[in-house]
Amino acid sequence: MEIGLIAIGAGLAIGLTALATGMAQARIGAAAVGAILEKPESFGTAIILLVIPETLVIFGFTIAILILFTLK
Amino acid sequence: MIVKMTKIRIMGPKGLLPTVTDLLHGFGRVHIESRPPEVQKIDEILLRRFSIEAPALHDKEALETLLEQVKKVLLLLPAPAEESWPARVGTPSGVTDRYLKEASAKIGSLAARVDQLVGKKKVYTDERSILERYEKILQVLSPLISQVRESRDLDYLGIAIRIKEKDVIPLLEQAMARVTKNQYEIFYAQVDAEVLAALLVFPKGSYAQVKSLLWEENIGELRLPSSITNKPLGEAFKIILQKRRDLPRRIQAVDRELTALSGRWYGSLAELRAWLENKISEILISASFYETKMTFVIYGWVPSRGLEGLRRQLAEQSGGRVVIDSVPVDEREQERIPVFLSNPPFLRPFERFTRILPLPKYGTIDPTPYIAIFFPLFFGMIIGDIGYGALVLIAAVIVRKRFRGNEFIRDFASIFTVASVSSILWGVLYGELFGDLGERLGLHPILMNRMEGFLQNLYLALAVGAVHILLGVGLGIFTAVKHGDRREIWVKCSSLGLIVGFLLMAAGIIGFLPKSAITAGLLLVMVSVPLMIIRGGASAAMEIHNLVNILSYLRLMGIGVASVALAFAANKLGGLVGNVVLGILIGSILHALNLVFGIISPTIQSLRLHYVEFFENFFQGGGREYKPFKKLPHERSA
Repeated sequence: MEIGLIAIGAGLAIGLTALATGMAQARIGAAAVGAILEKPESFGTAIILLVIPETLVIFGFTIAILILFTLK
Repeated sequence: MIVKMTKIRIMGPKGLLPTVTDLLHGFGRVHIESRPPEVQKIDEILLRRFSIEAPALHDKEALETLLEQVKKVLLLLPAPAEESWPARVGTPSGVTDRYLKEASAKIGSLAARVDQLVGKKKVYTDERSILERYEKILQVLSPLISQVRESRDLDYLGIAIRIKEKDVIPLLEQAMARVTKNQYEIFYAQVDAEVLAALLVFPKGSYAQVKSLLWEENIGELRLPSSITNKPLGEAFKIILQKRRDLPRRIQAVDRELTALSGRWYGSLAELRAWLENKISEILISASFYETKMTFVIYGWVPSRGLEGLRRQLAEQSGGRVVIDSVPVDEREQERIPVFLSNPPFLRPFERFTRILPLPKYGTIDPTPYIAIFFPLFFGMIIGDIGYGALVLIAAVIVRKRFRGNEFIRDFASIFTVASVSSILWGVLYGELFGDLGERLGLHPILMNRMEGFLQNLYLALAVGAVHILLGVGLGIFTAVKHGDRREIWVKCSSLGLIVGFLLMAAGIIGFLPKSAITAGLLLVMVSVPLMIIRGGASAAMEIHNLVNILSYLRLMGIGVASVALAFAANKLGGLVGNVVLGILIGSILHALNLVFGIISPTIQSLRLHYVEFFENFFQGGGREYKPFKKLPHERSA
């Protein structure tokens, strides 16, 4: 039971943050493609903006690992 | 590094301007300044913008006309490999009417011949593609036509109907019945999956009505190519077969002649194009110069190390009549100093990553050397597999050899060569070869097993992040000291104290350092934060963001673990199949997929760690690009 709850907690940590990252990237990506079409030199800035929300899922992943390895 | 620039002013008698312009063009390192602030202060009557005189404008027009002709011929001629270009004919040093006229006449007749050949080729290829279409239809209709032709009272027309539009057939039959008073027959034959051919047979007297019916109903009659329009369909088929045999030979003959012309002229024309473009740019650049009644004045920027060479050349060419002096740079002009990045050849490919963002401002730091160190390090840390690293290395070496002439591809191949070596080295440290395959073959991790040592991996990623961020803050302090920006010095130093304080606390908590480190760290944080806000204002508190930035480096661990987990899964799935060949095949496909993701993701993530986390502390973008006035290659003076 306890292991199951730990696993659910870890899953939620990564799953919810991945969803949040996806939602943010979907919006940024669409805007970035528009910006690049208008101004190709904005590619570098667009890539940076696009990968910024990935921090969320990285943190989620870290929390998941901490849950799995410190609560075991 | 960002090359030190000197602002220069060149002055001399107007008569020497063409010589000086040619010299600057050949020297190729002067960035001409068209709007120097000092000129705006001077009375316009004394010093005004150089006006291009009528003869020069006439030359420019003639050169542009010739350039258009040359470009057109070059566009139409097939380009031979550059090595096989013939010996160049050479171009004159100055523009003369006679040369332009002769060149224009020669190129005119060449252009006419090339035009003619290209036109012929187009007619042949168009005809071939039309005939290809009609051949199929006529092949199907010709047996029907031969039957119809036996009767002298009947006439016929061919039509092609798209199968998806076959609903039109009943309507057509009704209309034919009306027009021919039921004296008609339609034969259908399928040409291919998309087209149905139909032969309408009717009495000779109804020909005009049937034609107008097809026109009214908007049904496409089979229109044959002009050369066989008037031939009966049966005969047309024979002609088409004959032409289909002839056309490739004719096209080949035209191609041979075009290739021969290209072999003879392409190199010379390319050389002439460069010469013309250079001459036009020499005329146009004079619009950025200034003049007084008797003299010309040119403002520009030159790399400081090249100033003496330029001074010497000017003195030699002008006999000391042209003066060059360095001009003090106005405070407002700091941002207009052109930025020229110059790095040793082994670092130069990494400038590609620097140039993705706006250029750094003059007087700040060129991040290229740091990218060259940390990009391969991060890339290797994430992939960390001997097998994947070796595959990337092989691919990079092949691409580099194959695209030697393409600087862009060659640079990226060089970057990935270094990054792949780093991946191999990290693979040795992690003991990974295509995931756990290495372990099965007796390879053992030196540093850690990434699938087991999660916490170790986490600490390693944070440690690398801390080093990178501390370096960024250090570079920020260096820039602030260089610019004498006291506020920034205080802010960056307290930011450094804050990070070090937190690191001491963290190291004390997890047992890397004695417990006293926690107290020391706490004290450092307690001093740094107030200092940061007192000296830098409330906005300086944003520096605390550096702590979050260190956590961002956890992606080095996260994406690396995801990659190694996929490699493990590939081996596991391959092993589960039970058949060796199938297992290897499945494993290889999954490894290949992992490798593709394994190149894209680490590249983007490594760059992001530079652009977002690392650059934040010192990078100031918005530099003006250094664009020297220089000749295009492929010119050789006669």
